[in-house]
Amino acid sequence: MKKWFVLERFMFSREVSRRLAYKFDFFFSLFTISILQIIIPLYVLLLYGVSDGFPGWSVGQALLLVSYISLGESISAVFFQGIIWNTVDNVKKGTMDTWLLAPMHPLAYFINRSVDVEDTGKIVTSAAMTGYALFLLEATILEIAFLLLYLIVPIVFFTTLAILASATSILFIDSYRIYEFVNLTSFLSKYPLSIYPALVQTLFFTLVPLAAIGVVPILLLYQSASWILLASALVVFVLCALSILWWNNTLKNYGSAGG
Amino acid sequence: MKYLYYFRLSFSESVAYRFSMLLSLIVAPLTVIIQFFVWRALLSTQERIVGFTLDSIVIYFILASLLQYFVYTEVIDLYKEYFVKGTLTRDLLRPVSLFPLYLFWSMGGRFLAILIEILPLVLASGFLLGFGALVPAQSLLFFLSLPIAYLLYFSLAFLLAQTGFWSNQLHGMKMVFFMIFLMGTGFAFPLSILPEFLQLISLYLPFQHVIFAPAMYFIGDFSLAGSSAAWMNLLRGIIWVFILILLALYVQRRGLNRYQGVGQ
Repeated sequence: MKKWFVLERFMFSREVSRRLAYKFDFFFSLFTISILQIIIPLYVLLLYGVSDGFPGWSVGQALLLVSYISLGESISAVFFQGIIWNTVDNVKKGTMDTWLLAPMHPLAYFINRSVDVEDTGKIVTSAAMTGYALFLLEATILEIAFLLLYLIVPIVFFTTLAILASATSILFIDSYRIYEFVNLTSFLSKYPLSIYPALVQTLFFTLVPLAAIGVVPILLLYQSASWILLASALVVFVLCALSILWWNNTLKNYGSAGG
Repeated sequence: MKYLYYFRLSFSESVAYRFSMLLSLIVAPLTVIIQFFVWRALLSTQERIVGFTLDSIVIYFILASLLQYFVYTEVIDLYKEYFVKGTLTRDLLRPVSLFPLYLFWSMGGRFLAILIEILPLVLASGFLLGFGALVPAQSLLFFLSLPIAYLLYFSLAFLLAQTGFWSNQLHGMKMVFFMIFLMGTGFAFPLSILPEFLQLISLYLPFQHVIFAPAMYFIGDFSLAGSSAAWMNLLRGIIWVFILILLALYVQRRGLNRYQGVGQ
């Protein structure tokens, strides 16, 4: 584990140095990606500007939902989600075999190699939007502390998605657009789940735990929901374990191709 | 015609990797379905929001997805690769001009998209909403706006790709292009929900002609910043196409003057 963290720190500094070789391009990307991150929160604010908003959800709660999920997603994007791109790219070029030679677990090494420094801009923007939403909701220190602790759930969820997408990319060559599927899942979770039919809501609280990554903490803090909802967060961790098993299994069936 | 060769070549490349395109069959309809639920919830307490009913907003987002597939181009990625590998020289040696070459190359890539991305979405929408809903309210305006949308989007991408002659890297520029697409064209949301001053800016910028204007011609309710003069808006689109093509060619000429074919 210690080796992994040492390598992660090294990869982060290496990635910063690599991107700084083209400073203008790096800072330009950083800035643009930060702006891109406000699109859905902006959309939510615009919708509240021209309508009565989502029934039962104040503008602060709706903004917190979208910003908080974005924050978890951004942290996962910097440290874990790069695994998707790296898998797709290496499988297509046929260079994945060299990565498998590293003297550590392949998934751990893939994650090490997948640091994405320009996505740090996303973290800053999402944190700012979350802060603004908490200000609108006049959040207490305890509520903020709970949300900070709970942040592990959306991070693990988006990392699970990345691992699943990576495993799929091992199976199919040139699946760059698998990102669209990951983005779609994120998009799906950023609105109050009460807008979906009852069956879909049940699904999102159980087997596909989209509720756990944002709706649950907000329902607990601001809509006096039952704490039993926290059980849905456990499903996130179970799914994460299953995704790792599937990734390992997919790798066993990997046949080197590409180039 | 020599440019048709690039059309055929790009089409063949697209057929080779079908998984990416098949993913679109799932992603686009689900995006529309999410927007349906979002707007259904919003419209549960009022009949219209900025002129949209539930039916018209669903059609808007279906059209946004269709137009996205229609105009999509990978010309920035192509240039990105060329600047790293230095292979632009290969195309410069050919007896062709770069702008029409890549235009036809892009169109070839879109040909398969029409078959496996656009057609299924059109058919699914027809079965869900009734095929009557797929008839444009302002047919002539809508069909005239399609080549404008395509050329405008391609010219903008081509123009931004030329900046690689100075920076050698196009990653940041690609992000800018993506940002313009999401926020400026009306893909992420109809531009009519923006505050009045931003609508006014959008009206005179070229980006609304890619998604928002064609979609609103289809719905038959074009209105932006209080202006509902649809034909005048179409004319603005045509003018923007010429401006962007001329600008792209000018920047390309300046860029080629300083181009050195280095790379891996």
